[in-house]
Amino acid sequence: MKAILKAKESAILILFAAVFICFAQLSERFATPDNLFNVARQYSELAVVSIGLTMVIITGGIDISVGSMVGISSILVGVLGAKMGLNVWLACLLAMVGGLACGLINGLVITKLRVQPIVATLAMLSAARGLAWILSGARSLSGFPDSFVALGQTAIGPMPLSVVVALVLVTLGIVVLRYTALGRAIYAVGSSEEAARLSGVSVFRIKLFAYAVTGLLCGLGGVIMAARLASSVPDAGSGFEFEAITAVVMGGSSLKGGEGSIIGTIIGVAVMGIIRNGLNLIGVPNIWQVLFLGVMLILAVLGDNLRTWIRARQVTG
Amino acid sequence: MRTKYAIYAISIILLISFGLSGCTRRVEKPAQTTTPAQPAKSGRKIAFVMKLIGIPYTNACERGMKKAADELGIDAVFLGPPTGGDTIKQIDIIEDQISRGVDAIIISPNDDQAVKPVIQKAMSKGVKVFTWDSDAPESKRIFYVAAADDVGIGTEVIDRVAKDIGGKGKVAVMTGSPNALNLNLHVQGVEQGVKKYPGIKLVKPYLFNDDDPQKAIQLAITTLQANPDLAAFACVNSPGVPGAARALIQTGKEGKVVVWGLSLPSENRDYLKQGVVNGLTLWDPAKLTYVTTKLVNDYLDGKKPVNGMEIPGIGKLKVSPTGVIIMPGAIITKENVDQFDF
Amino acid sequence: MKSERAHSSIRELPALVFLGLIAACLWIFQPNFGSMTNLLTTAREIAVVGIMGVGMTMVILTAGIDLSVASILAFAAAVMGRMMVGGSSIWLSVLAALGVGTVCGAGNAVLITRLRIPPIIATLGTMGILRAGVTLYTGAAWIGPLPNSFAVVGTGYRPIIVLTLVAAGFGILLSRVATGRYVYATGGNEEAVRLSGISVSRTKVVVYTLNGLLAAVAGIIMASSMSSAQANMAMGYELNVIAAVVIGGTSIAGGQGSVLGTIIGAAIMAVLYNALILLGVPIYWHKVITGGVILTAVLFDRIRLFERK
Repeated sequence: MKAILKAKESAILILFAAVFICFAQLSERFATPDNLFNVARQYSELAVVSIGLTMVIITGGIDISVGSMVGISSILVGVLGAKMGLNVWLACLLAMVGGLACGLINGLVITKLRVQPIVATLAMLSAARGLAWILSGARSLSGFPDSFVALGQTAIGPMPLSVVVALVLVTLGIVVLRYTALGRAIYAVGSSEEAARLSGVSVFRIKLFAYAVTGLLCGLGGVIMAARLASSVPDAGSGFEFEAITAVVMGGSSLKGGEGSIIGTIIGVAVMGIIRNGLNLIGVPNIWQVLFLGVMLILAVLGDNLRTWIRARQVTG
Repeated sequence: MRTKYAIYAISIILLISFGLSGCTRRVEKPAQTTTPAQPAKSGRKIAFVMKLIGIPYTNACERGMKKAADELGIDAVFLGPPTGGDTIKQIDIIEDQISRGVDAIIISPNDDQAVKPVIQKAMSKGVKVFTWDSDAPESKRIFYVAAADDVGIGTEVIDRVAKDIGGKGKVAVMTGSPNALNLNLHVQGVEQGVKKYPGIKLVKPYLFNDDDPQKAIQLAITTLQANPDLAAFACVNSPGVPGAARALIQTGKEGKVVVWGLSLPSENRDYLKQGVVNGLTLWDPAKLTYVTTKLVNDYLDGKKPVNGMEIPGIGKLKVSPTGVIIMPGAIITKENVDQFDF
Repeated sequence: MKSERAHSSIRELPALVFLGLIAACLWIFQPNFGSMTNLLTTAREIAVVGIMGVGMTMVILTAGIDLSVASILAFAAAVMGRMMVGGSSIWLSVLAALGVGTVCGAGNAVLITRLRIPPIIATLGTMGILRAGVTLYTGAAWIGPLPNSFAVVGTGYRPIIVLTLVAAGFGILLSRVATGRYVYATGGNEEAVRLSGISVSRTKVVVYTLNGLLAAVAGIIMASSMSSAQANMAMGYELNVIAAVVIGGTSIAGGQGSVLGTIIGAAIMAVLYNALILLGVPIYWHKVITGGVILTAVLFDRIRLFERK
């Protein structure tokens, strides 16, 4: 019990519980499985994308192009699958490859060309979004085969398929980060590139991996979104980057690198989801949600700072 | 040890503050829907989901909704994404209202195609869906309330422009976002109408201002620079007209370029009077939303709209078999602009 | 000092050349570009982004960032607009706008220096809070029309004059005054600065507060040009400003860059946007081209660094 409480994620977990309880009190529809699964469905894309972003942030970098990568992937599914009539599953695969390609470009520009992550991904944010608009002619695309549409609505038991996929990936991510050498290397690069390099870790490979995986996961996110909406929207994922960063930071990752966990991030995503959903259910205008999230973000970081400060005081006596 | 206490302290503070804010909100809510003169239909909940919120047009819609909701004693909320053209956020909002268990959702979709699945989902869960202001004709929505024929009003605009420029010249078309069906239909109306005037040439590409007032001004200015001999602006969404007007004032061309469009008299009163804008053609969005609220409420009571039915204070409605209801609109010029309060 | 200045003029040269090239092409292919009204309108856009860019340059020089500038702009403009429409004098309203901007900037500064929240997060939070705040404050309604006498502020040569004053003033501050040197130093090596007894906090407080103030100035110009203030004005502008700073040669890692570079960066973006519209390029190509320009500018910078090594 003590170990759980001491964990970094305890703060965000308690925040989640507090928010959950409040909304459960304020609205009878909130705590119903139907509603909660709906929220999970709406946030499964963000969850998947945040897995990759967590890894990127742990290595000390950042990626603000995630939203645009989701967008281009969603459009690729639409253009290839609906407009050009390719086999829709092939289109999904190609869309994910597209996301991976963007991620690789990000990674290479950052590692080989030594461009600052925020700048490189800022460029990708514009370029990918623009490409999405060009390919789609700035119009949304629909006309997917029924099998694809059905996929967006299927559920395994009560859980929507996209939630199951997200959970599987989250578990995979947790396992990789915590229990594999790859995971340890990611943390090492974030803590100190020099030390990592000296102990034989290829910093270049690890960073490239992080950005590439993020791209791939964005590709998957775009596919999930296209299935969920049964259409490809050129603006898909717009603003995702800010939401994803908020979730990762709320979940305890430090932007300096070396710290963080996927568990924390997912709880962060969950907090954001229930706040938006809860406020919608009690009829609060959407604009308050933006306010709430801004406040939440600052409080979460403050909470973390407080913890660090208290810990430091403990050490020095 | 102290870490634990710190965390507990923070969460207790949060719980208390949330609880308190929750209590105050609970108290506020009943006050919003006033007690009705008619027998209470309270407990009935409807939600309007607009393309966006925060421009004068949408504020006017909300006023109309509130007026009708108060008269009927039902709970109505007016929602929408904070920025223009955000299809996905709009769909998310609709999904949340389905979860909330509202009786009816009335949508003005940013994208008529993308919104089809969520409308289907709502209807399958017993939530009645209608559209207003902009349609999703291929979806399962029950009916669509429009003011004016979407195509016809576009033709009206170009007809008025043509009259004021003598049937020839270059005309720039300003619209909002490329996926909004109603705007595309208005533009279609412009394109159809312009065929009557071989001397008029529409400037391509059309200007998309995404319902952003600053963008409207910028696009108008650059168009004026690219086409110094521009004869007129034909604007089919509400930020377009004041945007074109400001652009003309800033470039010193006011009075030299004709401006007609769909926009609110309240936004353009001064421009009309000073002759910067030649005229507007619009309906009262508040009245449109008022009528929609009442028609939806009637439908939920089992009363379907009938062709030729009369609404007090509005006039006769035209109802077509495909479910489109047309409300009478108005032409607004500097002569009659003061009659309108929207 | 002299070598610093010589170094800085070389830094901005590629950007300047690029700007010259675009402008020249436009002049040749689209004579309308050179018309006074077009130039002045473009100039105003440069002024708005440029003024915010000056503040952002200082922030980025300290290895920080401020994502909330667009929201501060909107909030300041809204407060000013409300007052004007309510009958207050123009000067008082403008002063109020400046005050709001300064307070917001100071708020950011407190979060970053006192509460030790990383700048990107603190300003991400305030960006959302202020934007929501302005929507609630305006009731999502449009504030206007603003008095005609005020409308002239945003027209003609005035925005450019303001930009020149701001750029010159801050340029001098950064290169000649002690505080300016501390700004560069903080970005270069914060620890070293702290160890040498200079207050890093104070430098940061100055920088973020001024940034808020400058955002308000930009907001005054923008509101004047629109003759109104709206909750969603300048949406997304923070990325435009950052792009201008980056294109102008300022390094995101801090410690290197200049105000002049940022102005050129803002000019490049505005002229490019103007060109795309004048040439009738479809809207969807704009973003790709913008992304390409940002990347090219940064790569140019990288290459120069490699060559020097």
